[in-house]
Amino acid sequence: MTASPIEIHDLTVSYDQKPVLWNIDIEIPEGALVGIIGPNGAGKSTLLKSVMGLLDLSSGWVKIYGEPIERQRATVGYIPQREEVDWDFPITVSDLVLMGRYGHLGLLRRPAAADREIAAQALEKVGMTAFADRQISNLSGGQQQRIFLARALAQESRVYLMDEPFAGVDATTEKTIVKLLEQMRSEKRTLLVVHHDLQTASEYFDHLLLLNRRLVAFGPTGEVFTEDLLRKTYGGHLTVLSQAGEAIRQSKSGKK
Amino acid sequence: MSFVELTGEFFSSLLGHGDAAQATINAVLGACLAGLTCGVLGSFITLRRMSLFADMLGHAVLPGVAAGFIIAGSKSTPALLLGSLAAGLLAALLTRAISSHSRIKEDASLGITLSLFYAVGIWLLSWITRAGPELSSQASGLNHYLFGNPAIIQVIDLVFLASAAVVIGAVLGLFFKEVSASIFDPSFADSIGLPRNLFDNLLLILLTLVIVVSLKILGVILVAALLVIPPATAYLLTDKLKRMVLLSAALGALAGFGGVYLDFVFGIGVGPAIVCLSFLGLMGAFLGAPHHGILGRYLSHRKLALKTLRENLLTSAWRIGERGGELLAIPIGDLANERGEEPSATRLLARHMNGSGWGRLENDRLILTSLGQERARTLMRGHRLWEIFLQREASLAPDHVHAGAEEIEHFLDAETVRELEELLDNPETDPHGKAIPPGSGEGETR
Repeated sequence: MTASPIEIHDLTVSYDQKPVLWNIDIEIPEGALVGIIGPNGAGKSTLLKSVMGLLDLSSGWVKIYGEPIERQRATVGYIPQREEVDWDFPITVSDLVLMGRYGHLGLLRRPAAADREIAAQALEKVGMTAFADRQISNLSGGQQQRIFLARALAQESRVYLMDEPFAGVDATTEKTIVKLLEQMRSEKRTLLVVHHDLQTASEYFDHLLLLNRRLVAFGPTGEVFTEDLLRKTYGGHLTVLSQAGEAIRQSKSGKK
Repeated sequence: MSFVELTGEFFSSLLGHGDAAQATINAVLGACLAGLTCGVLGSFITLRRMSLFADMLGHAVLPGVAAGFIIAGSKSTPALLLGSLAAGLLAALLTRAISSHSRIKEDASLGITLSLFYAVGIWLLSWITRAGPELSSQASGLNHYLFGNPAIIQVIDLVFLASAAVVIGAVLGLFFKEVSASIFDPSFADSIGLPRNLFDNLLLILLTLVIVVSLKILGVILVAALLVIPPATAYLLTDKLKRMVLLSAALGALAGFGGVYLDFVFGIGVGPAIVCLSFLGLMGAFLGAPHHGILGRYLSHRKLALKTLRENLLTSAWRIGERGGELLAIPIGDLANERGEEPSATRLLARHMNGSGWGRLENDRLILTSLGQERARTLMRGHRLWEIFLQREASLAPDHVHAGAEEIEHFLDAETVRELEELLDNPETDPHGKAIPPGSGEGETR
């Protein structure tokens, strides 16, 4: 049997002794487009960071194609939340995208023409070629998200972890991201995407991971996007539940 | 001697021979090298928000200078440098230990180590003066480290300065992409496995190094200036990191040169002269930088205000034309009526149309060019489409949509208008029942 792209075994993560993730045990199938949903503070970003090896684990382990992340860094591309970087940093759009190649270059080697070409293509895929020479602070939120995606594309990874790529973006960007996710799935890449909008979750993803500190459910969207499981995930958050009810009714009445 | 004579003597001594000339040459070389190196490293330090570390380390090396002197029993340059290097590294280590092993934040932790080390330094210096004639007779000149004095720069100091410049240039050049990625996007840097902590420590070590070799020029208190002001100036002037580094190095070297020159002519002290010169440069950039300067921002704001004013006149004109009035040469009186203002006010505004290519004020009438009419049509179309959009999508009442559209019309680009058309199925009338001018796409010039 070939190893799965992401295998999480008995994972527990704590901040200051307080556990934020409990006993997570999942195996993500190759080529799955997975949406991670759950209420605020459910540990969605923490899960991605744990997979990425950025946090100390209290227990358990994560394997990427059967190996620890340290040996598979080039396999996994990570898109942090947009707020985490200094957008006033003196860097142009094309230089930011070129950073996607750094992991492949290793220390001391400078980007070659081939790397620049890959970065330029990535920029084109997100429709931002016209902005290549702009400084990054002159961009809208959606445009910033698109160049983050372009940087990830330039990494040419087989597995991607994205932290809320849809947060606060405009309609054009949302369409671009959805198209890219579809395209990446057709290329058999495995994608783990933190998502906050239940209305679109069942539409965008073929697998869903319902998370609230512990794993509530993981499986094909059709099987796990049910009122019962969502209730378990969101607990007493009533407004979200009525939203979810609406989303389920729509998907049952055959409306896409 | 007069100012001109002194200037002449300064430059001739740069080319001259003899002890006095050599001292001036050493001072200039030392100040320029320190400025250059501080400018390069300072760019990374300020972007990494470590500027306060520069200030702290400047103060914290003082006990090292004193301890080096006490151990060596003389002002041997290598001993003093080694002592201050050790003190600086110890202070950096202590600062990080305090902030990472307690709830005390980094800025407070910096304040703690700065004052502690400086206090120990002062204590050691005063102990030296009371330590008996053997030590204190050697000690005269130690206070040059407190305030800096390039006049005492010797060849060995220059060798240390140049070596530090080479080391810092080489390290930052080799790890340029890794260091810049770590500063810009820590999470991403971690995700591709960059040893971010190592780079942070490396920056602190290099910072201590450059401060130690620059001490004799600026002294422990002012050395931070060269690490912060030229980089901050360059940051205002450019949006590219490589350019910022080069510019900051050039500004630092220039400040060093200018500082020695001003001290030579006016005798105001090299350190103060360097700091004041650097600050003048910063002020220049603060006011005049193309994109980030006050003046540049003011001008682009003015340009936008002028465009808005002109476009508002165009839409007023369009409304008059729409009601069957004259569109090509509108009497100012009619225009003022439409806008609900005094004709004198409208006349004043209409003068701003001259030079826009959209129209001009002539014989007390606003004459529109075909370009101006086209722009007016585009504006009205955007305005009314936006009103419908607000009413339908944001469920605003018809009498609430005008103000929003009034502002947004100046910023709607062709792509957004096309999206609106598609979304709204190309409507023909707006919420107030007015016709939406057909789009012909052009007229989007100014």
